[in-house]
Amino acid sequence: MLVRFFFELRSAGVPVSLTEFLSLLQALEARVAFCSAEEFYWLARLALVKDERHFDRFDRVFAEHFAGAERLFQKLVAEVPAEWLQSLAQRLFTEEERAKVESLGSWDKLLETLRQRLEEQKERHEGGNKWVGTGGTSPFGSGG
Amino acid sequence: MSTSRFTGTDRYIATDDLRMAVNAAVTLARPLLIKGEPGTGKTQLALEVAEALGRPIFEWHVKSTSKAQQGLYEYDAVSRLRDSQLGDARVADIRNYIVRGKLWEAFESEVQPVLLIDEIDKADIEFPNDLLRELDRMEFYVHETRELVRARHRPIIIITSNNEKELPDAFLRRCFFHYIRFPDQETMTKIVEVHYPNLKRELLAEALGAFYKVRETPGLKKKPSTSELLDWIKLLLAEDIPSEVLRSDDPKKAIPPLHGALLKNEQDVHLFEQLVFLNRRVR
Repeated sequence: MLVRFFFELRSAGVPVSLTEFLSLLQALEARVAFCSAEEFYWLARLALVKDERHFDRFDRVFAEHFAGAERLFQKLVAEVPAEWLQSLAQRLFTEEERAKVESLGSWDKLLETLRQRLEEQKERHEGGNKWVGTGGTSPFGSGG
Repeated sequence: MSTSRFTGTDRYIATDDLRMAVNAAVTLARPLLIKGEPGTGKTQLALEVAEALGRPIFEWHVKSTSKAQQGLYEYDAVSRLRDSQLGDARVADIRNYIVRGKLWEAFESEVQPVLLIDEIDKADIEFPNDLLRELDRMEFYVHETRELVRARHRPIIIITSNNEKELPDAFLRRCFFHYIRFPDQETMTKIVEVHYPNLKRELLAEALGAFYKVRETPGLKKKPSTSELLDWIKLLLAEDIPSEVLRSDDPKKAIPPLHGALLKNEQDVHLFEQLVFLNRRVR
């Protein structure tokens, strides 16, 4: 996944070299950033972009690339068939847990709620998207 | 080697991304290149990192006439010639005439040091490239004494640039890069509070408001920076100017008092006064 990111950056005009990409992988291995998406963003930018004039381009490619990954994950979750989930539940859940689920409505309702929550999270995340250059106020962007 | 993380010090507010940059550079032993507007604490950062991690610091303040070789050493041939003419015994050992540069001093440090290469863009374009080999291999050869100088500990290298020149690609590729953005109001509040802990909240808020407004004036040659803000606040406190005076609702008082501390350029002062005047007429 990161290799594709590397090539996407290059096609967007951010002159990343192979050595710089490898240094990012090194840093990830050394666990310089491992908990948050934000830390990963800063680390990637630190290792790959050496001119602040390219920050906007980097932001765009980063947002597109990693939003894409998130979308894929959501798609996977959304496509989990209800019957599969139900049979799994029969096997793993106890009587009380099953009753609890029933109290929330049907299994379909449960899946629906899960999908909704993911949508909300996605919106919130996009609403609070710090790294996408917001409205050209970045001092070193094309709009700034 | 201690791997204590850098989180800023009492007197230096470091944003999260800056902290990440320092820690990444230290962990991976890569030089950290810092750019940013003048007055955003680029040089100060190296000093604070040294203090926070408890390491000695070697500062190389680059000038337009600086050559990469000077960071390693210089051979003072003139003194040697003079001494030989005077019959001084020191002439026998050439080592007496080798003047060590900052890189050499940093290499000799018993403890891992911080090496600051300040304003690297001041020197000519070949300067960063001339240092590449030494930065990579952490060693260099002294021709005069036929010795190889190796770094005892790889220094933490912090390089600052004012963006006056483009730096060569080969050099940039070896560094991690961080751009210190001008602090936003929230960060700036913390910075001011560190320097003026007893400052009244209202005065601080009003001063910051006025300060950012001045910065937004279009066409300024030199926007006021953090150091100018701190100086200005010092003056306001010294002159005992109350916060009401700073409130810019009143068109008559739209020019902040003592603005000479913020705008150092005559043209900027004229520009600012003109805009205020125009504003007044529009109302």
